[in-house]
Amino acid sequence: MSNPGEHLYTQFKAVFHTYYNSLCSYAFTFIKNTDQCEDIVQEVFTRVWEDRKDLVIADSIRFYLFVAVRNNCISCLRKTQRYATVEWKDDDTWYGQEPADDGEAFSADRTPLLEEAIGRLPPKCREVFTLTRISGMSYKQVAGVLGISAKTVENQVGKALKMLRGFLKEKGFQVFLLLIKFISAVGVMLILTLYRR
Amino acid sequence: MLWNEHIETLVLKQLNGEASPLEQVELQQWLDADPEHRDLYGDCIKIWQQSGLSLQSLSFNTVRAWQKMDADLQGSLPYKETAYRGILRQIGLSGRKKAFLAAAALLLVLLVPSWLFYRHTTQSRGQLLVAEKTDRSISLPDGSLVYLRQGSSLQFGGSFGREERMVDLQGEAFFETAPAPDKPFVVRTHSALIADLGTSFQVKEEKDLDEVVVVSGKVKFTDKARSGRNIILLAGQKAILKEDGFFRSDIDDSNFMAWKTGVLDFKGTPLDKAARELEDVYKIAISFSPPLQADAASIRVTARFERQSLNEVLDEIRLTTGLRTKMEKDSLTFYRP
Repeated sequence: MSNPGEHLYTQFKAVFHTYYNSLCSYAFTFIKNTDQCEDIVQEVFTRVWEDRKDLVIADSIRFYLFVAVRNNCISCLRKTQRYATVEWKDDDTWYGQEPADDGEAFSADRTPLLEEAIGRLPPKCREVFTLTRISGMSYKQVAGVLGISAKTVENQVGKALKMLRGFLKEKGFQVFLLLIKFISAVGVMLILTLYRR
Repeated sequence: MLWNEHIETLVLKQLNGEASPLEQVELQQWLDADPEHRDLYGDCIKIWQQSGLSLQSLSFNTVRAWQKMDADLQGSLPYKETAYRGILRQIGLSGRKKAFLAAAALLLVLLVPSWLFYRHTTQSRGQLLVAEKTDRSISLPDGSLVYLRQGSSLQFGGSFGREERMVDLQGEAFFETAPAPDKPFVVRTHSALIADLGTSFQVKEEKDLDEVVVVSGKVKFTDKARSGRNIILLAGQKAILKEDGFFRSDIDDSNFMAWKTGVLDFKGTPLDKAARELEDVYKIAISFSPPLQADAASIRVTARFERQSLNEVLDEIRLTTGLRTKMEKDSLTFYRP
């Protein structure tokens, strides 16, 4: 017979390896400090191991982890920034910190334009979109984590896609306009010099 | 209106891998209706993929984090408990009475050999095998062979081979099982049980999807959620299990094992399909420039590659199709010169 304790341990290790990076990335959308993010995620895992070993083999473990990380991030923010208790219904509520302006914490291979575009999404929309992309969960599961309906999740993700596309298009257009301005300026200067001769 | 709520739902489901085959057909019809639809959809895919990469590109050191976590956990591990507590007790109280130290030392002397013996006996109690950096080929205690794809893990208990033959799979693996009629070889994934009836087969487990491809013999594929439901697959057949049930088809793709064999064989394969196979083998994202998206299915690729680098493969495809490629980070785009 296999030792149930050891089986649990290997399962726990596998769960840890599967979700650690995603959970830290998710925490980072709230708290712009990688060390703090890692602390929060590790604490969540420690608590699972100490109090809720039954969850390790449950199908709902992913769900629990994301909910727990989210709650801990929010309470961490409340503690440090004295955030008022706010409910999801409030459309403009965002628990997280605004994306940092200094690129310090960001690695080089991020797409800066898209990064900026995601940062500009309305807070609620940004959280729904981010969780959907990071967790690999279905819309229904994301809805469960956030305590909203699956329809709302889909609406918010759809809204995010539309806004991101609009933003990227606009940026592309601005670059195009700048190019046109530059070319016409060069043209005018060229004509003027030729004319003066 | 180009983009209505219904289409949005279809697109969103497709992006998150939740669209049913029927919905996929409907989406395809919408895409075929208008090139503008395809542009729009192409943008969505791009944003979807890149945002996923972008949001997760911060890398946290999981291995180091685990070591730290593991050290904290040791104390509460049932099968190492006694020994570790003993050692800790000794260190923690070393500044105290000599008598106590002696007792602790004695305890330690007594405990260590018994612990070592205990550990020795527990070592045969099952294993977790992870293919972290490369694919791994594993021979199981019952003589079965497993080729575990990079990033996948396989786990089995101590009674494996003696009382049962059950393994837990995360990711993708190819199995060549040793015959043992009285003990069926069972692969367990998050949502399915795959029982082999003497055979070789491949299992691929993704977030909301399990795929089983049978090369030889017979396999019984069971839906864990609806435990009565199962299908029998014969050699040359494959099936996918999603939330809404099984989808069975013949193997239409000779390259499903390319990650294991390193052989990619394209015979008049449509470029978009070839691209998906390359994505799978070389772990990159491949897209087509907007003017090319509509035509990608009509461009055919015929070539055979055996364990060649991505660059060599791309060279050949560029040469035969007349297309060019550009590489940005992990994403490759085909375009017309």
